[in-house]
Formats: sequence, C-alpha cells, structure tokens
Amino acid sequence: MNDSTNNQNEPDRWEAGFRQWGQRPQPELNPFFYTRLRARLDQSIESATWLPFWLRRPAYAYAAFALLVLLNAGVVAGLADNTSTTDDPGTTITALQDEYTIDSFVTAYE
Amino acid sequence: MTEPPDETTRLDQLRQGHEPAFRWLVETYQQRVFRTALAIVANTEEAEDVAQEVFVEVFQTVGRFRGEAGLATWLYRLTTSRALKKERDRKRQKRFGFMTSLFGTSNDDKPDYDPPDFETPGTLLETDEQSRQISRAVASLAESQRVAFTLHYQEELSYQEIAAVLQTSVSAVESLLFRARQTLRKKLPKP
Repeated sequence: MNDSTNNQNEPDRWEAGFRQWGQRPQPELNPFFYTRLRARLDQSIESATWLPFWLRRPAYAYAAFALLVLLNAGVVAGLADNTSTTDDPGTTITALQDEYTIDSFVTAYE
Repeated sequence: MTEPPDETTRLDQLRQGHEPAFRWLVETYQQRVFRTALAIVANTEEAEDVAQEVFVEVFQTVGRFRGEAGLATWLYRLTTSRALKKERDRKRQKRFGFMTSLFGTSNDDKPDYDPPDFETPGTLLETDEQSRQISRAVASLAESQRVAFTLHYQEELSYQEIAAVLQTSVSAVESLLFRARQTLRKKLPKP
C-alpha cells in the first residue's frame, strides 16, 4: 500500500524537483549593463561607417559580387572566342589571302 | 510572461531608433535574456556576451521585424539560437584544444580548452544539491530538449509560447519535454 502510494507520487515529486530547479537562485547581471551595451553598439556603428553605404546592406554587397563575377565571366568568354578564331590556321590563311587578293592555285605554281 | 500593453507603440518607437524605447526594452528583458543564455552557456561572461549580442541584433534589425511573434518571443528566439551557437563554438574550440594538446603544438603552459563548466558562479549559487544535479543533467540533454526544458521550468513559458520560440508545433514541444523528463529521470537519483 505504502509502495503504491509512493509510486503514485513519484511523477509529482519529479515535477516538483524540476520546478524547484527552475526557481533556483540565479546570478544577476553585472551593474551598468546598458552602458556596456551602448558602448558596444556605438563601436559596431562606427566600424560599419568605414564601409561605403551600398556595401552595408547585404543585398547590395551580393549584387556587387554577382556583377563582378559576371564581368569576369564575360572577359574569360571573350578571350576564349578570340583564341579559338586566331588558333584556326585555315581561317587565318583565308583572311590573309582575302586581304592581299592572292589566288592560292596560281601562287602555288608560279 | 506578460507583454507590456503598449508593445506596438514601443515597437514603432524602436523602429524609429528612439533611444528611450531601446533603453526600456533592454531594462525590461535583460535579466530574462541573461538567465536564458546562462542556462545554455553555463558561464556568466559568455551569458552577458550573448545578452549584448541579442540586443545589438535587435537594435540593428528591428526595422525588418514584422511583429508576427511577440517581442518576448523574438528575444527568446534570438537568445537561444545565439547561446547555442556560442556553446557549439566553445565545444569546437575545446575539441581543437584537446587535439593540439595531444600533438604538443600548444606553446602556452595554460590549457587551450576551458575547464569543466560546472563550478561557475551560477552553479555555486545553487546551494541545493538536487538543483545542482539537475543542472548537470540538463547540460547533457540534446539542444532542443534543453531549450524547451529551460523555457518551460525556468522561464515558465507555456507550450504555445515555447512552440512560437522554437518555431515548431505544440505537439513537438510536448514530445521534447517528455523526452527531456525521461532522460533526466534516468540520469538522476529518485527524489
């Protein structure tokens, strides 16, 4: 009987223990918390003003980065195009022949 | 947790960068933010650091806060996520410190990792042995269970309020608390 009563009360005892833990004495914040917070805030604002205004917002920073990547990709693509056209010997010879009006069959036998 | 009646007005003032409104916010919530952080980081210096980070973030992002959740809910959400991040970083540094001490790469005589956390000013205040044991067991719970348990028993938040902080359902909170209690009962001596 006594055991069953104890078992019945066990969840309540756990609950009481947890609630007691919740109300345990806790340390207080050190005094002048707001002053220290204000100093930190001012410092963060000061360091942020070193950046140009359009870089202080993430959307602008990401857009600037994306633009930079696109420009670089464009330059690389342009270079690749130039290399492919100049590297083809047939195209280069034809361009030279067109420029100097040379007939390839005639020059070969003359 | 009772919200001040003029929260909407205060929020508007905060959005406009009104200094007295910000001061009111800090003075009203600083102890709750600090206490919640302390239950997760278990170190008063780190808890104060978390509290400062939370209020700096509030100051910087209140313009984007749409007010869907209450101010207290938002603050608890910021606090728990920041405190958990700090705790993860500390554990990572601890592991790294342990590894460097194994390889003998540390130049300092002092250990690179923190000493055990249990004898902090916060826990020294806990004269009651049972509370001290519970604190130790709570520290070993999974992150989400630890947050739910702290918010429920320490901050006395309802299941609905905890669900809003954790951005989850009430049944998920019930499940978290159930598992937390079960784990604690296994780890702690019978009361």
